[in-house]
Amino acid sequence: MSDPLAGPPIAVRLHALASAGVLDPAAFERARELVGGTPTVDAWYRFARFHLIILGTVLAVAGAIFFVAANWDVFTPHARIGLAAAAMAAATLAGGWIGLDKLSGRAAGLAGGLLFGPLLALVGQVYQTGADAFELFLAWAVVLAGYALATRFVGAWITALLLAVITIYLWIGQALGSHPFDTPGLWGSLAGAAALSALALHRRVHRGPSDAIGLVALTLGWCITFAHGAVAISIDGWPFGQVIALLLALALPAVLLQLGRRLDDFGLERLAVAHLFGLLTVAEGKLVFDVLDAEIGGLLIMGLLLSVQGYVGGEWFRARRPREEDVS
Amino acid sequence: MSTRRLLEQLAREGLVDRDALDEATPLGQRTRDALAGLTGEGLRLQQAGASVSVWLGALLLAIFLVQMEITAVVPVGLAFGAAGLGLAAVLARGPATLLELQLRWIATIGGQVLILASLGEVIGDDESLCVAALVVQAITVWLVRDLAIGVVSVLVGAGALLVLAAELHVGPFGHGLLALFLGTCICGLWVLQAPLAARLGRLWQPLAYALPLAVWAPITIGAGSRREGGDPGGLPMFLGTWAADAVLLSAGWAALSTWLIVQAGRERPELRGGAQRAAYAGIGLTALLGLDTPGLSAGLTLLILGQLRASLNLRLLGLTAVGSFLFFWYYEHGSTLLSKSIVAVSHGALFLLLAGLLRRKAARPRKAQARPLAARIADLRWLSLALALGLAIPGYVVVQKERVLSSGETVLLRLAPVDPRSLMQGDYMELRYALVSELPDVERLAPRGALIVTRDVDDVARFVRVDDGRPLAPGELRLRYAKRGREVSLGAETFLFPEGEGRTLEAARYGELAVAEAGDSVLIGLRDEARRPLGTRLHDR
Repeated sequence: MSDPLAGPPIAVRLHALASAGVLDPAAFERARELVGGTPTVDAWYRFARFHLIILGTVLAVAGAIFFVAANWDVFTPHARIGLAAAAMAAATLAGGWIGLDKLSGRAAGLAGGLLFGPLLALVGQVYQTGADAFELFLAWAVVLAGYALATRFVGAWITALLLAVITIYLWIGQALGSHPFDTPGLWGSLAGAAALSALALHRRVHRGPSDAIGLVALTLGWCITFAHGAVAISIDGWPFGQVIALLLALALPAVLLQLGRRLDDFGLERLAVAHLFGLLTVAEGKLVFDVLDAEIGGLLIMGLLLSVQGYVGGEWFRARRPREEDVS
Repeated sequence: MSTRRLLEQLAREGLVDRDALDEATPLGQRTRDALAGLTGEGLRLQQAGASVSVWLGALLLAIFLVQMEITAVVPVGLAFGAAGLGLAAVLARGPATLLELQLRWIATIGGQVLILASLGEVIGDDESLCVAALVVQAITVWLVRDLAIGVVSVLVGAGALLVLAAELHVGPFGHGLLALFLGTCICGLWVLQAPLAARLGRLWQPLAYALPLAVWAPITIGAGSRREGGDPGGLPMFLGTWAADAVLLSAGWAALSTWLIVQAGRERPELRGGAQRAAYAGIGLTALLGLDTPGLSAGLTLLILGQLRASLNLRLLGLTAVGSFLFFWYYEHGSTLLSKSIVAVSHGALFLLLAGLLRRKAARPRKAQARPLAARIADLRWLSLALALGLAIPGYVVVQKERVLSSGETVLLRLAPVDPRSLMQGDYMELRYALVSELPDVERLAPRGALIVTRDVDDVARFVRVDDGRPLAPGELRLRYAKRGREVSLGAETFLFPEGEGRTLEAARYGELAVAEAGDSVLIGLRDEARRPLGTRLHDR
């Protein structure tokens, strides 16, 4: 067994020592000071400035969205469109003037890109182009990608990515009149999931596990692919589209496992195993409750199967997880 | 630095007894016991043991026993449940293998379900069952010496408290007070962590780790269910009026934030003075500008607490709470979108102003040189390109629609409305045109095309045929359509209207369109049964 005192003094350990009475209040405060648990004046400055700028920008844009949604008829339609366009232009140009090397400049530039949404929503209101929001979100995603290119701001890329994903699902519902788990909407959703996963893995390979855009893409791609796999297993009849969905759902963890081993990236491996165990659980459920039609007895069988699965997964986790801390 | 090194340093400074480092002494043993489950291997084991599979497996096994009607005989159910909790307590006494750790979870979850299901047989009302759930969670935290199980128990207990409040119909103010109470507990636990951890012992960690997650629920969830006229289940942060209770709640959250800033000054005396005064002013103004939005203040309190305790998780929770609050707030109908817009923009402007002031006043080294003009122009060049794209798209739509409006013929289409709220664009009516139901064999229609219509003396459209390329007869008009799945869209299935006009527009029976020669159309407004225009008209033609 490893030495309990060998690991670094992370917060949970200090809390445990204080709770056990090993560290009295004075010793605890000093320990926090020694491990950098008390923010410095500079850290407070950076915290305040960062959050004031980001929250200020988000709230100002949210206010603009609320204002447009209020559809206030005191101004003429053209005056409203003009005001929104002027706000977008002012924020964009202010970003360039302050400078894109500064957080405030990038935030102003991003605000300009975000204000495109309310502007287009306003045009939609005035000309009743419809509350089908997918066209609005598609245009917004494209314009924001342009802003992201110009500002080189990760936040802008992530927002554009999220808008693109929202666009896909709004398009499936509003333009195709379909459903993500039913053709033809299924094809759109699968293409989106595959594109997100490919983007995520590309960035993971080239930029490592801390890349924020890659992380967001991986989370979204994983969730969508898993949902498709689970539905494909549980649906009756196995139509052609669901076979493709299941193949994609099985291919993703295979690629994740392979890449995880090659890059020595435990996060990818863990995600792959969680994915496979999740699909296995759905398959077991289908077998026990649908095929075998086991009712109360099925609860016992599933409970035991899941417990065993949890144990096997736990043992795998212990065996594979890096042990760097033990040697410190 | 290792924990051993830290303890050695503290011992050198006389703050810790050296015995803490010696395994042979009682204090040394206590030190090791405290850290036993928190070594690298211990934390790995905790992660490996606490899997969704195990939780679900335990739940299903417990439900199986309930379905077998073990809990119908209450003493038997209670005995089994108590045995489960007892087993978990015994397993949690010493170091554990993976199997033992997972058995702890299975025994705890199974024991709790059996006890609550048994009590459900004799307790008639939901309120008492919530109290029972609270007591069971408290017993679990006290009995089972496992940090992860303790954290989950506190979370479940807090959930039971929130459900109890809803069952008792405490109303928006009661829910708000509960959120404020939880917020006060969280701030107290973290601000006074040194003395409270010593006093509460092993209870401190589950409470301090779980309660910030629990307070997130009343800050955000439930906003969408609040409607005009008042919903007793609604939450206080979404009150539409500047009521005294909302002011009190907002002031309460502001007081908590102020406390955190006072504490920051105590821990970092360099922060006292101007910086602290500016923070007080910011907190006060935030509370003042958002008197009916204490949910925003609550998120900010969590954010400041996260910074005070250098906790990324608390900071992320604060940001998530603010973001979620804004989302739910949009769909809440208790106050107008216009007043929400003023509150949000004023908050945003205040924060940006404070950020600017902070940069000017902060006593920290700044880049002396102004940014070269060439660099600014380079940034502006790329941003201007993005801006041009952003303005070109709506510009194109405006020009296209204005053309239809200036040359189009007026056509009325009979309809049947309903009224949801759109993502981004505010309140709208969904329109269903009677004309569409007259179409023969929609399945065979081309994906896109035009319908040929005529108008009666009141301009009401009548369907003639699907456009097949033949020249139009006198009085006939083209009207473009597009198929969406099995539905046929005429391009104007929704009418967006100013907030508050919903009642007036309930009388709508016709949609008024301007239809251009090629069949493009713009929905101009709605008309009642007598063809009189309703509501605000944006385009007078």
